[in-house]
Amino acid sequence: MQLRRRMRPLLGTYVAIGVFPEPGADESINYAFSVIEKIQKLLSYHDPESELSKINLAGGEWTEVSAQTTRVVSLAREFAEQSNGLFNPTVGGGLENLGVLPAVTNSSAIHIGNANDIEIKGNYIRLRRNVRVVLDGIAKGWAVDLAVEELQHAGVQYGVVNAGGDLRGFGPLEFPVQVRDATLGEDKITLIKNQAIATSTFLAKPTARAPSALIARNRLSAPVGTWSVVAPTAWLADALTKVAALTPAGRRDAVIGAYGGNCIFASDRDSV
Amino acid sequence: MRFFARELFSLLPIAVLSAPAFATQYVSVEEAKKILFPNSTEFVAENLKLDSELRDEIKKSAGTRQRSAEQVVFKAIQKGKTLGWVIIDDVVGKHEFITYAAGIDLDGKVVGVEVLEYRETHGGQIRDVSWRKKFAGKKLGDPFQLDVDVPNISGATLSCRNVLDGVKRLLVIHRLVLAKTLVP
Repeated sequence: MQLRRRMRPLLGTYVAIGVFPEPGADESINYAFSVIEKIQKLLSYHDPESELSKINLAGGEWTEVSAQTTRVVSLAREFAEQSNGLFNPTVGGGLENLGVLPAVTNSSAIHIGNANDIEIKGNYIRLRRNVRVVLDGIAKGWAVDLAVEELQHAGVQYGVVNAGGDLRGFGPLEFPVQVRDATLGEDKITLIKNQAIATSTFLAKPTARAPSALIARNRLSAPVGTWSVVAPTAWLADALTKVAALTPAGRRDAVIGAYGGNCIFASDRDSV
Repeated sequence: MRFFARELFSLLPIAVLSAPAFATQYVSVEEAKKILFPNSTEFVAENLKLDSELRDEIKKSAGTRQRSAEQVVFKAIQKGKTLGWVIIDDVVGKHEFITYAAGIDLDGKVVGVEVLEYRETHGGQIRDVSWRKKFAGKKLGDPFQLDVDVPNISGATLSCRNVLDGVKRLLVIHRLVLAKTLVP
């Protein structure tokens, strides 16, 4: 069967929304897109006017932000603590040094910080040290989850939201998802039903094809390869791909499982 | 939407289809117009002819090349009043073209961007034939089973930089041409 599908350029990539084709579907999709646009406006590292940038440029002062921003930053900080820093939203400085992210100011920031560098009081946020918070490792997935919630509130029975590969199906739909990357060898296919999948590829040097870079403390070399994680929510699947990449293959299933996810493909384990 | 590629798939051996071009249709031109200007009562085709001098000027301001000498434009009108324009454009994605529509209002602001067609050289269709058969046969006639022809892909993120640059170029076209067509 077919979905009513729409696609817009958002979040630096292409976001596709497909829903059960019924009257009113387009209006529901419009609302879902507007929710994603709002996230982009709030959390974009590339936009100096975003609330995230205001936090990063505040020089340690308290910055008032919207409830949505507080939610995501809190989540990122909490997950950073829970994962013992394997997931780390304070690597903006390091990513700027690598040229993966644009420099938000002329001054250089601390390469990598930790969860304690982020202080939150109500809807006020400040940074204890000169780190840069970047939410790229979680924001796309978060936007997908918000869009799914919006669609469900609108009464949409089932659908798929895909933000540049961070994908979540909701409702009784079942469909195959293809994971394709040179580091995996052949195509990998999995069946998705009412869950999310995210895939991250890290190369020795970030390229246009794989622009992400993974920065972690105490690592002699950054991991290279592709990791796909299935989880109930897109933000969790998104965040766990980073944890998966940084966890040795032998311990990975247990670690990802403990967070409620499943690393279904890993190039250091599954490649042909 | 059914794709040409699906019929091809059933007729030709797999080896030939190692790199099929496939397209995913999103909205049609008609649908895009209504989405971008929902209050519009009519759309009038006003395609632009851009001579080489103008194309050079566009390139200088936009930073990207104006490939075509003709641009498909629809003026969005509500009860005799111009609301803005819908411009149809193509940019190159990874290897193939992406066709999209941009809505620009009287102030030269972008009111929306909708992808019409997204083409890729590689992938889309599940290449593993045995998997296709397995999935298709899983629950015959299951209403909640999605069409395998429309791909759902995780990974290999494509930046939308190209469309954003395209929209920047369309804004230059608005400034240099469309804005001047309005009677003060």
